[in-house]
Amino acid sequence: MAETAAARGWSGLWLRLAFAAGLAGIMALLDRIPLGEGRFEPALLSANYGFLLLEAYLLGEVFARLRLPRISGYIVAGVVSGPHVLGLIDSSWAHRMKAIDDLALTFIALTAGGELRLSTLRARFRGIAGIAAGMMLLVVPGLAGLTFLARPWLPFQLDLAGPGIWVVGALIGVVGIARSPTSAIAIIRDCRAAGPFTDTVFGVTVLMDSLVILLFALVASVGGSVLTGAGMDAAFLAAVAGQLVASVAVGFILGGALALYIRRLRGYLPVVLMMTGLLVSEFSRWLAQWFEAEYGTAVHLEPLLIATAAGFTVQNFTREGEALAEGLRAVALPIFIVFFSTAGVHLNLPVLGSVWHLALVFVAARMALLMVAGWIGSSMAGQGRALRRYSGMAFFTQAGVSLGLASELARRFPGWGPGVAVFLVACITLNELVGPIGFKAALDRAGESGKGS
Amino acid sequence: MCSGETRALRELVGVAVFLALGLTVSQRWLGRVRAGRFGRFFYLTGAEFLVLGLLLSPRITGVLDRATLQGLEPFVGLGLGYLGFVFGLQFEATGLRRLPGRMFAASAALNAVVLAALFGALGWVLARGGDVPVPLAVALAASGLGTSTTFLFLVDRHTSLGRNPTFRFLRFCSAFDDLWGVVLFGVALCWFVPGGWIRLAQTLGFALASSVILLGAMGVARTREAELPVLAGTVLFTGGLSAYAGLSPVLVNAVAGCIVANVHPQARAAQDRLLRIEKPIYFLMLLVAGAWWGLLGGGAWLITAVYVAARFGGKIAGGAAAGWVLNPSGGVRSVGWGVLAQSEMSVALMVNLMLLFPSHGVGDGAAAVLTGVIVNDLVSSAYYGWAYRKV
Repeated sequence: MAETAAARGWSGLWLRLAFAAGLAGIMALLDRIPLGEGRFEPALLSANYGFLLLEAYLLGEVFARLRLPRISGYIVAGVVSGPHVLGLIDSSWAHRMKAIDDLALTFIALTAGGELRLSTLRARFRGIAGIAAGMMLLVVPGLAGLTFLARPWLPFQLDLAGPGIWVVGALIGVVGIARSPTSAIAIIRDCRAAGPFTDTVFGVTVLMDSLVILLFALVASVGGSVLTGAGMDAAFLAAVAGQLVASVAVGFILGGALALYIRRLRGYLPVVLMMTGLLVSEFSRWLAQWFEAEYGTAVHLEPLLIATAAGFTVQNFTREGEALAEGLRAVALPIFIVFFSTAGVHLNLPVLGSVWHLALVFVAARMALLMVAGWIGSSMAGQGRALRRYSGMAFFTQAGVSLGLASELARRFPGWGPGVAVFLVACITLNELVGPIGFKAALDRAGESGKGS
Repeated sequence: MCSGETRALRELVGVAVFLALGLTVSQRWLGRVRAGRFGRFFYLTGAEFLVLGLLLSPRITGVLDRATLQGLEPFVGLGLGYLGFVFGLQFEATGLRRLPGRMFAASAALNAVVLAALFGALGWVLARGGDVPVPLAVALAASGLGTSTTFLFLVDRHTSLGRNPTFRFLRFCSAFDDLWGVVLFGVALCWFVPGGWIRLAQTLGFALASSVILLGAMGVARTREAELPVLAGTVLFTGGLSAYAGLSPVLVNAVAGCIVANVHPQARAAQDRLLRIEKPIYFLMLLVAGAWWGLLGGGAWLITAVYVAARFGGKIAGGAAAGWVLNPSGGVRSVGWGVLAQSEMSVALMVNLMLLFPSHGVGDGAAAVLTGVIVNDLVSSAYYGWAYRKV
């Protein structure tokens, strides 16, 4: 569809806003239309998805005109439509809409894996390793120190003496370095960014996705033994490492199967890829439940890692990489829009509202630490000016992995964990809202926006 | 995630896997199956998904139960809205004006005869018992008018008959038969609950509003990449809203699509883009229809037999009438054999009916239509060639 003259420039912006407002008006008036007894409630789920898809697309375009990332527009559309602002989608429907998250999340991870090229990773290894090391060595202790200093004002009760507060701080620090590969790939696609800066920060993001889980397991095990005085839970650490390795192995097998499908059949590839996303997340859940029921053990394969490894395998070890990328591109935009707008619907604004003062301090401190870590890590690895100055800005965004770690923290330390998790959710909410703007600004300033296909 | 949602998701995965397997198998191997005279095209029209759905239903294996089907309702609503929109987009006045008026008259004759046969016979059977005999008879008759586009595509692809002049009329019929059917079905649906005329006005109002939303959405889609989310969002939104209001998403979106086709210059491009995902959506529809068939337990053999016989008789007699209108002085009189295969829209209309008004009576009617789809596909596979014989 060609862009009409009226749809360009500022008039286009107002046109989109008016259209979005009109759709919101329809949703708001829906219950006032006299529909008689033929009302069919389940269909509202479909209408909600459609509304969110259109609304988020429109706000994404408005944000693009304002030189802000589109995904911020998608998230804001969800926040505004969700139960805490206009209430066009109430909390019960918002809950039902969560079911699509699994599909979208694994699909986006597949996309992320498909974007990773072994040759690029090899070429950028020094920069990736340097920045990742900088983040682990600076941000984690930095946030732990801040937790120690801010302990009189923390919004949760900690009856911990001595090293206990450092354990909590270290865990907050580890969650602080978790990134969001999904938002990273969405912003890179949105900005059509390409180049050494993009490759390096994306490599760091994907690497951290696995490292942060291992680091969390390590800190939780050591911290648990410190707090209880018992020996270190080495079995837990080994189990986490084993699960990560198994996830990658399953991903490689899945990648091989996908490549075979593309080579032999290829038909309906976008549909098959979406189903693969669904299948991966469901397989992981089924396996966890089966192990729990049969052996009483929690074995959880990481669906994001499986999907990323699968995409990586097809891209780097088969000849079907381009066909996979094409299939993913065909349906990527609607999936990105649905995922980020439903994420906006689910943003926990009441929690943020209750602890926003301190959350703001932690978020600001985290950003500063990331900037410093990016500078030092890049400098040590001999990287150029762009990475030194702007790489930290590319890591502000947090989402799914961080939320998962927060809830794991609440589960593993039932005494004080839930309180800390609530505080972390507030911080992650802020990072989710502000982070994409930082990433886009970093790509713009590094001069790599618009360089990709 | 709560257990209910987990369960729904798991079942959705099950459906997805079956659909993926079905698509893979049909794409890779069924084209090569030598299934004899009756089964020649049966495996290629998608009817196998109907059988697969029935096999997965509670009546046979129980893989898809009521909870699963309820979990699929939003997706089915999307499919119905989508099929309606794509259907409506093909009726562009400029293109239609180029067709000879005699074709419209022939199509009207064909459908009038089929409708009279189906409505008369079904009205007689349903009047013997049931809550809404007249609207149900109209709805079932409307679903029987359609002719399968896929079947004609297969005839064109696998034989040389595509060059035959009669084939042009048959292709025209495949679009227009459904138009009569969709309109009649939408009208019948308004009388399933009290307030018929108001609901008809609501249908038209929703259709108009949907077309405005569609036009607005197409106007703001800046790039080719943006077309898919914008069109999918619009179809979900308008289809979902009309189903929520208890109206037919197929009819509402068909009217909206028709308006857009005649107003927006890029409507054809939008249709082409949407058609790329038609097959998986249609197959999902067949799968769900088959499962619902088993769930509702429809199996009134009298209705089924009457439906199949009346449609067959109506199509053959209507075909003769259409042949006479096309060429009163001679030519083809056996056009009816070429329009026997039942359309994709017939299934969509039945799914629409089962979605909005699930009841034993509707289950019986749906069983009749879905049996008709299978029987007509088999008969068409064997006798489609008779449509081209001159008297």
